[in-house]
Amino acid sequence: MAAKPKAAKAKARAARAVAPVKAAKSAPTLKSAKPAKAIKPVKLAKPAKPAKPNDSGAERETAWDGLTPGLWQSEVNVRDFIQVNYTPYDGDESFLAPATARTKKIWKTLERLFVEERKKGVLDVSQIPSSITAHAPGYIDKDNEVIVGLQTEAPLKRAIMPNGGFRLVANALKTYGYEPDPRVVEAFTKYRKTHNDAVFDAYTADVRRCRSSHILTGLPDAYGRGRIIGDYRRVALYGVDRLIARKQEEKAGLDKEMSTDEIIRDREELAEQIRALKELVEMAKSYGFDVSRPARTAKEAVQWLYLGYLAGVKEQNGAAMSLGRVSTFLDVYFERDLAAGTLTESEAQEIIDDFVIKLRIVRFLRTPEYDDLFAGDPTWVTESIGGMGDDGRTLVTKTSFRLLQTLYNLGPAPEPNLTIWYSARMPDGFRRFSAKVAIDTSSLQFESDEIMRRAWGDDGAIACCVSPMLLGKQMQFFGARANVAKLLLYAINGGRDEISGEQIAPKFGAVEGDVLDFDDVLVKFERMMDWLAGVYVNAMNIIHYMHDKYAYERIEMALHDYAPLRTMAFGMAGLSVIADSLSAIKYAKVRVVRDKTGLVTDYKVEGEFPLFGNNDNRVDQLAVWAVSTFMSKLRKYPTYRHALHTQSILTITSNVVYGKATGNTPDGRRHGEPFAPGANPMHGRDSHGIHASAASVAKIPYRDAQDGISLTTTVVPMGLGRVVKDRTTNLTAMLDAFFSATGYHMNVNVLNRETLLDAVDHPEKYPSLTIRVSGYAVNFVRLTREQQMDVINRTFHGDDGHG
Amino acid sequence: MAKARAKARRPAKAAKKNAVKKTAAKMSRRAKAGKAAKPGKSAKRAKSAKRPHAAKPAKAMKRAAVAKAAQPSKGAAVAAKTKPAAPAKTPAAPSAAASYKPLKAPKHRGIGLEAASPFEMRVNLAKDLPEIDVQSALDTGDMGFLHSFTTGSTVDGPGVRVVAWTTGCQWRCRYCHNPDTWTMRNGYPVSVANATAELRKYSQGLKVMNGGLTISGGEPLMQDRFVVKVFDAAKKMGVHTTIETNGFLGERLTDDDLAKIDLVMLGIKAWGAELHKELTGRDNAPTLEFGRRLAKLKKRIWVRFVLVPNLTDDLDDVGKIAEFAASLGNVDRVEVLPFHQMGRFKWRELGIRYHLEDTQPPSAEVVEQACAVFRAAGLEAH
Repeated sequence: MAAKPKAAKAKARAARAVAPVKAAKSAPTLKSAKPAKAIKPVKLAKPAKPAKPNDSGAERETAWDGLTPGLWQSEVNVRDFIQVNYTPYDGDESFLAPATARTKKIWKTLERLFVEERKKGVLDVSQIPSSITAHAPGYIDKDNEVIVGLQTEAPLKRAIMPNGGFRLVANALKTYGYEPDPRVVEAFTKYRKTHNDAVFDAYTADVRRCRSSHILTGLPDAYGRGRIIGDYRRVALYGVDRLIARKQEEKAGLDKEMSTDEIIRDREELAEQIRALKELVEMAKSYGFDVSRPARTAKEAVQWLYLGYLAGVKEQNGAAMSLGRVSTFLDVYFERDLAAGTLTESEAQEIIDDFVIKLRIVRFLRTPEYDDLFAGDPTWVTESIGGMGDDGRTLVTKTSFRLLQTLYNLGPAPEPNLTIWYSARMPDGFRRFSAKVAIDTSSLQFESDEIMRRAWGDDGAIACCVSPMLLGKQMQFFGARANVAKLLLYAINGGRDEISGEQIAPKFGAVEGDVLDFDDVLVKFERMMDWLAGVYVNAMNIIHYMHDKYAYERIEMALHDYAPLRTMAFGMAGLSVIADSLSAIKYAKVRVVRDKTGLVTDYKVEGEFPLFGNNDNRVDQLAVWAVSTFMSKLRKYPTYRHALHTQSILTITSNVVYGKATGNTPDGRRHGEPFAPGANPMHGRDSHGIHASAASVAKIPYRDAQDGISLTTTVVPMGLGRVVKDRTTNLTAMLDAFFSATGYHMNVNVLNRETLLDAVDHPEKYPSLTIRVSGYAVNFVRLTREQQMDVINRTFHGDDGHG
Repeated sequence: MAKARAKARRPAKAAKKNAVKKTAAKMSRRAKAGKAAKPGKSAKRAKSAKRPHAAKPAKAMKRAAVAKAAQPSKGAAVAAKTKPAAPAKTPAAPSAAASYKPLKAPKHRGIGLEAASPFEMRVNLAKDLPEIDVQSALDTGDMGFLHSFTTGSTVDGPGVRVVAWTTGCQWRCRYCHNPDTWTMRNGYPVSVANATAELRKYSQGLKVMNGGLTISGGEPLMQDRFVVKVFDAAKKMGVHTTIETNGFLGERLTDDDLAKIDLVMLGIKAWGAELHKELTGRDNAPTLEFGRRLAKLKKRIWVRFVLVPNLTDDLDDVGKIAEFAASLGNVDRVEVLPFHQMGRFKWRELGIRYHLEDTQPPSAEVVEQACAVFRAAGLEAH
C-alpha cells in the first residue's frame, strides 16, 4: 500500500490539486509541518500553490457548468449543493422507462450465476486479501456494461478480508470447501494481528460469560461492524483530489494540537484516509476512469459515486455497507443532461438499472454462525429515498422514482435495501407509487421522515435497517443487541441462567416464594439491567477500540468530515416478550415452577392480562418502561471516544437465535420459541388489527431508541381492500396515518401465507420472492426452514376472512 | 366492581367447556382422517423444546452438500465442525403447506374491552348477566353486547376502518359465517363509555385514512339504542359512521338517529319471497322498505349481496335486486360477497345443522357474472 513509485505522480497531482479558497491562509501552517515530512516517504506538495488555470480550473468549470453556485463550491458541502440545485418532482410514474434489452441480457447472465451460487453456497472465492487495489478489474460483460466495477475480478467471487478476524475467514473458507492459502495463513497468524484476536485479548470474564450464555451475542467481535456510510456523493461532486486536499488541511490543522492519545490517533487516521483516497484513484484508473476530477455527466456521476462505494466494499465487509442518500443528489446530474438533450429517459433508467445491478451483486464471505444471526446473505446496501427538506420542499425527484422502477425492470430483490423516508406531506404521486411498489414487490421499507429529520437533519441516511445518521458527519459504533428478555429471567433467578443453572450475573437475590410480585420483579429487573448495561458498554468499548486499531474503515471515513459525531448503537431483543411477561405478572397471577435446585424454569399463569400489540396502554406502558429504563442504564457508562449512547429495537434474524437460547417466559412463551422480530408484538397476540398493532409500537419513544425501532407488517392483499385499485389508496392511507402519528418504521409485506408455504416446498418456483423481515429484505428461499416457519407464523393482518 | 370482574372471569369456565368440545371434535376429525390422537400437553412441551433443532439436519445437510460440490483440488475434508451434524440422511420433509399448523396465541386474553379476531368462536360471554341488566341495556343503550372488534379493516366500508360486531340476530341465514353472533348473550358487555374511549384512540388515524367506524354483527339494530349512542359519540369526534344491517328493524331508527349514520350498508340477500324465507327465515319486505326510506332521505348506501352457488346464484333473481337498487338512486356501490367456508367449524361447534356443508365458494367467473348484472343496471359493483 506504500505509494513509493507513485511519489512523483502524487506530487504532480497534488500540484494540480484544486486549491480551496482558504488556501493562502493555511500555507503558513504547512510550512511548519516538518515532522510530517519526516514520517512520510511521500512528499506532499503544499496545496497552497494556486491551481494552474487551464488545468483543473477549466475542468472544474466544465464539470460544474450549468449548476447553481453556492456554499458547496467553496467548502465540501453536499447538502448545500443539493438544496440549491435539485428539482423537486410532484408528478407520477408515467414518465418511467422499462428495462432495455441490454439490461435484461446482463441480468439474465447473472440469474444463471445466482442459481449456481445458491447450489454451492458461494460461487467462488478469491484468496487475495482484499483491499481497494488488491484485485484486477472485473466485468460481467465488458462490452455491454454501462456502469462498471466489481469487488474482485469476477462477478459473485467473494474476497477474504482477514483484518476483521482470520479464524473466521478460515472457518468460512472451509465451510465452502476451500483450503486457506498457507501464505495468507502465515501472514495473518504470524505477522498481522486481527481485530478478532485483539478483542478477545481485551475481553473481560464478564463479557465472555455473557457471550457464552447468549445474553449478549452477535456482537461485531468476529465480523466487520459496518454501519458507516461514506458520503460517496463527494467523489462525484468534487473529485478525489479536492477531497485529498481537504483531508490534508484537516490533518495539518491538528499540528498545533498537543499530541494526546486522541490527537495522535486522529492524525494517523487522517493519514490512512488520505492513502485510501489515493488508492481509490488508482483503482478507478484500472477501470479507465480519472476520478481525481469531478464528474461531468450523469453517467460519470453515477460511475464516480459507485467507484467510491466499491472501494468501501473492497476494503471492508461490515455487516451493513449502506449506500446513503444518493437518488436526489444524482438527479441534479440527470436533469442537467436531460435538459441539454444529451440523455434520454431510457438511457437514464439504464444507467440506474446497471448501477443497481452492481449493488445487487455485492458479496461477502461469511461463516455459518453469522448466517444464523443475519440470514439470507444480506449486505444492507440501504438507499434512502424521498423525504422532505427543512425548507418545506419535498426531496422527491424523478430519480427517486427511477430507483423504485428497478424493482420492475430487474424484478424484486432484497438489495439495495430501498428505504422510503416517508412523510404524509410528500407529493401524492410518489406516495402512491411507493405504496404500489410495496404491494407488488414486498421489497420496501418506510421510515418516518418527520422524526428522523427533526432529530438529525434533512441530509440523513439510514445505515443498515433503521438507524439514521447525517451523511458524512456521523458514524455509528454498531453493537447488535442484548437479550433483555432473558435478563428478566436472570432477575427472577438471582443471576442464574435458567437453562444451565450457572451463575452468570451477580447474586442480586432471586425471587422467593411461589407467586411473582410485580414491584419486586421490577426492582430486580432494573438492577439486572444496570449490571448488563455495564457489561455491554464494556464489550462495545473493547470492540470498537480494536476495530479502529486493526480494521479501520479508511476509505469510508475519508468520505466523512474530520471528527464526525459518533454514536454507540446498542440494542435490545425480546421487547414484546418482556412487555407481555410483565403484564402477566402485574395483571394476572404468575406462579413459578422450580427445579430441584430451586431454579425457576417455568411459569403457570392464572387469569387474563392485556397483550402488547392491541393499543392497550396498560401493557404498552410496560414496553415503554423497559426501553427507557435500559437506555438510562446504558447512558450511565462512559463510552469509547465519547460516543453518544443510542439503542435500537431491532433483531434482524437474531430473534430466532435468541429465542432458542431463552427458557420459558412468564407470558406463556415456551423455551426455544423465537422472539418477535424487532419491536413487533408476539406472533398472533396482536388481535385487534393492523391499526392497533402499529399504534402500540408507535408508543416506543424515539428519544430513548435513537438507533431505530423496527416494525414488520405483513398483510394479505385482500387485507388492503377487495377492489384492487383501492389497495394502493388504502396502503398509502395507512402509511400516512402511521407516520403522521409517532410511527417510526414499517417493513411492508403484502403476501398470502399460502404463497410462503408453497415457497417453502417449491423454492424453485420462487427464486426472486422477496420478503421483508426485521429491518431488511431477504430472498425468502435463502432462509433456513426454521427461519421461514418463523416468518410464516407471524400475524398476517386481514387474514381472518371476515370480509 | 369485584362482581363484574368475577363475571368477566367466568367465561373462562365456559371457554374451557368449549375447549373440551373443540378437542373432542378435533380428535374425531383426526380419527376420521386416519391420524393418531395428538399428544398431550407435556408431550407437546417436550416437542417444542426439541423444535429449535428440527432445522439442524436440513442445514447441516446443505452445508455438507455444498462442501462436497466444491472443488476437490482445494482438498481437505469439510469442516462440518461448526455444529455436530445430525444424521444427514435425506429428510422426507413433510410438505409445509400440508403440515402447517398456526401457532396458538396464549389462552390468556386481555381484560376489559378485549376482542380477538372475529373468526374466533365466542360464546356465553354475558351468560350470567341478570336479565334485568340485559333489558336495561337494550332500553337505554348505555351498554351493548359485542362479539369483537378490529382495526385497520379495508373491507367493511370506505377507507380503513374500526369495525365492531354486535351480537344478537333474528335472522338465520344459511350461509352465515358467524352463527355465534346470533345469540346476544354470546357477546361481551361493553359500556358506551368504554366503546367511546377505545374509538377515541383511533379517531385521528381514521380521519387521515378516510375511514371511520363500522358497526356490523349480528344485527346491530337489535341493539339500536346502543348503536345510536356509539355513533353519536363517533360523530362528535368527527369520525365517519357506517352501519351494516339487514334493515329488518329499520323502523327503530328515527330520522334523527339516521342523521348520525353517514353510510348504510344494506344487505339484500334475495329477491324472491320464497327464496328469501328459505335462505334467511324472514321476509324481505321490511328490508326493501328501509331501502326506499333511505332513498327518500337521500342517504347514501351500499348494497351487499352474498353469492352462494346453488342458492343465490340465479341471475334472474339477482337481476331483480339490481333493478330495485338502481331504482332507489342512492346506491353508491354494490358489493358481491363470495360465499366462503371459514365459518363452517362454528356451526359444528354450536351443534346447528349446516345446510351448506359441501358448498364450494363461487368461481371468479360466477362472481363477475353477478357483478355484470348489477353493472348492467347502471350500478358500480365489485
